[in-house]
Amino acid sequence: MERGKLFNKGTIFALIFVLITLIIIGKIFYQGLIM
Amino acid sequence: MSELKGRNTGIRYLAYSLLVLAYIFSLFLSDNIINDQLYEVFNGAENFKRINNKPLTYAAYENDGQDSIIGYVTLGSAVGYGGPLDVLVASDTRGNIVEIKVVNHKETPSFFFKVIHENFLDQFDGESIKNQFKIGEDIDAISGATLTSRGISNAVKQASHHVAVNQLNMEVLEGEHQISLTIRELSVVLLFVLSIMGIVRSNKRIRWISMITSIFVLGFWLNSAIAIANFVVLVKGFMPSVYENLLLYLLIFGVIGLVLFFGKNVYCYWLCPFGALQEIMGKIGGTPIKINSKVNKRLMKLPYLLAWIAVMIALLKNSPGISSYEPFGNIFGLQGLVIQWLLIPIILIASMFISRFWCKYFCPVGVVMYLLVRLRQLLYQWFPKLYGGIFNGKRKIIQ
Repeated sequence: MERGKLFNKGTIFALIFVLITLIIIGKIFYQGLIM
Repeated sequence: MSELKGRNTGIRYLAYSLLVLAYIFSLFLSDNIINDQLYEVFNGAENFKRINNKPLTYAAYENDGQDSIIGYVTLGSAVGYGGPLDVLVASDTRGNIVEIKVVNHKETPSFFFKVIHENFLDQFDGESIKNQFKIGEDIDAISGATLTSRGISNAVKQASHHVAVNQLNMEVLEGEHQISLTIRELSVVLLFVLSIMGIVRSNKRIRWISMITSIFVLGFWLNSAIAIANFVVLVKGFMPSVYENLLLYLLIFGVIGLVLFFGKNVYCYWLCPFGALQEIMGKIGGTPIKINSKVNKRLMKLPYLLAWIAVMIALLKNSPGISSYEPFGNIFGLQGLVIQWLLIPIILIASMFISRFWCKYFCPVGVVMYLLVRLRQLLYQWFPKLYGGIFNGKRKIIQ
């Protein structure tokens, strides 16, 4: 199912969504740490 | 290649060792209540004297002299969803509660916020300290934060009954410990039975029925999707009483039992309401995106790192719920941190194009399930006769 060039459109799409999600999770961790 | 494998094993052992160290560290963390809190909870008292250590109890005096007791302040403790809650209960000499205050808690922030915001604590003011403080009968729970409501009630009950019996010589009726089996627990058992039937028959249709039922039962109705906090609570020994929280025990031990028995991650693919929701979004969008397999393989390691960070923070802060980053509570219980709300549209949109986007790249519960599956494999290796007798371990399970 997962194949194609290293940075095809699908991979870039996935990476952008993953990055946004990671930023939010990072923020949740940070809030937990300073609480 | 073997060098790389050795390095990975090294990192894994280091990660496990740090988790064990953090766990030991968390055992030595203690919280002290500040004396100022006594004055806040008992307005009008000018002096306090400690009269008991367990539970911590203070006599409250009207002035500096010690002949004018106007009441007592006691610290009660009980567990909520994400950990213990310490509640100061101030009561007068007639046996009525003056005020209560949560002075310390390890509760999941969103649940705690909801309870405080919806003035749950006000219900206790003026109540007799002999009250049973039973949720649903004497006290109304805050919807979507039942375990937190129950934890606070139990802490108040513990503290006030101590004062009633020991300071005011009152007779208090101690409620019987009785396991209550309600429609909620029965629904979860039925859901388990349904999924077991499907697993044994490898029936895809039953899997879909099970998943859609789970969205409504474990999701919107009970808001009980399993989260990483549940496992940290279990390891830390913060589980609330089984008598009042049978549902939680059924879910956690039922799922652990199922995974250990079948040797496959049956929770995520059969019972998780959030996984089911993503699969439905996937059906709508058709999950057309093809990701480069190397990138995909790397990204699929993310949940391990995230689960590790979440557990480390939970242990170091001695608060299991504090780093539970899953948005389950937001979507099913309409509660949660503001920032967690942003996850919902991102995940649901991404799941239309990438199959089970959250499960694959972020979910810490999947990591726990994987570790349980590994444990099952090890048990199978160590005790082949025992496991072989129960189940041959070769049955194919739809995933």
